[in-house]
Amino acid sequence: MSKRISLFIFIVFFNFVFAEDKEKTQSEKEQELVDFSSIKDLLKQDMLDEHAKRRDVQVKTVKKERTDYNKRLYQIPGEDEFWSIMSEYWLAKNATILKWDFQHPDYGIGQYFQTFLEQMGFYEEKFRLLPINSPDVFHMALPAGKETIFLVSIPFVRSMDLSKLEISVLLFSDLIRAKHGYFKQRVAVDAKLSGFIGSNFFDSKKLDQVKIKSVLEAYDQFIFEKGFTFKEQFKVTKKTSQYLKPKLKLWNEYYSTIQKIDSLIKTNLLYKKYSKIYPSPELQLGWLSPKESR
Amino acid sequence: MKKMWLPIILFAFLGQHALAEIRYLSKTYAHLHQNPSRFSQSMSTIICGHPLRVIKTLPPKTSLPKGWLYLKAGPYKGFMRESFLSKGKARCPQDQYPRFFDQLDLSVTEMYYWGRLSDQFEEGRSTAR
Repeated sequence: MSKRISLFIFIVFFNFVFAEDKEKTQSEKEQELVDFSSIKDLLKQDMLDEHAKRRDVQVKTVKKERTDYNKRLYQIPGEDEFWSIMSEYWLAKNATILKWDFQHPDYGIGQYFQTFLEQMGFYEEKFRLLPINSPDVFHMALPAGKETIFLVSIPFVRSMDLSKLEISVLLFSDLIRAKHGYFKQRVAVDAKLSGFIGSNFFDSKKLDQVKIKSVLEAYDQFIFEKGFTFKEQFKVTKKTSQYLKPKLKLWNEYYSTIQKIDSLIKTNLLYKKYSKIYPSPELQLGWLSPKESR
Repeated sequence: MKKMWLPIILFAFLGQHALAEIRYLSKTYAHLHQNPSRFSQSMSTIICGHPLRVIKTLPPKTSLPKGWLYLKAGPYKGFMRESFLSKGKARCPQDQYPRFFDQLDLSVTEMYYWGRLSDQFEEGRSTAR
């Protein structure tokens, strides 16, 4: 009888223990697993908590480095590189219109212009010169970061039979324009670029193609259609004149080159657009001429 | 004595390849030309950072103008200006801004012309003397 009673008690006790274990939720079990309080001192003694902390920091650092690296992949070039890439991209896209990929002798314009800049005291000016075989662009300075890209139309030069000195004077005035940053400012405004250059598209993972298209369109618009304003042209003419005046021979070359251009655009329909891009040679001559004293 | 000849013979056959000089393109895009002239036909468009092996033996009846190298890129052999190349890995915009360049989605024609552009530019820098 006593054996039966003890067996009954055992079964009841077993059921109780079993039932309690079954009722434990997963989170409770996890809590038990993560609960280090019982062995806290032991962990401290073995420096395991320090090790865990160090590993935690390491993991966080690695994670941050990986995120930063991934983020860097989606970086849009900063001010200098952006304009250099965009100017080259625009030239590559318009190769068939501008016709710069043509066989020609070494005109030596670049070498001459380099000496001209040195003569003017403009040192450490890095530039790239591209002769183009089209009358659509006459002469133009494109932004390229710390450099300047100069376009020179060979048909335009031939039409006026310009000397290397005259070309250099024109390129010099283009350099002054570039230094004022008119081109960049106008393209940036037209293409609504504020906040785009040097930004990151890690979150969206998609480059704003509309912006790139609008930059290229703004280049087109500026170079082929709009050109510089009267105010900009006035400032550039006055500034160029200031730089050239101490060397009177160069100043005379500048004046006579504008005279040549003025007569060309009045006689040759092909270059009529010139005064729209660079307004206007006739006005420039007026700005440069010394005012008569009363 | 016979054993000494073996490395010499091996070097004669393999040395040229084993010690080949490697240069890396430092322009965004450039061309490997058929002849050592910037107007010459393109054999292949090369992307910045691409390694090119310098070949010392020129094709028959070809002379190498100053500032040009005869190179091999993949299966193509051709000429390129030395100033376009660097001895170490170049700092390329495509590596600095990879996703930007990927998503510019340049066509083959655009890459071709971008490469031609490097050839057509006349570069200069004014310096104080």
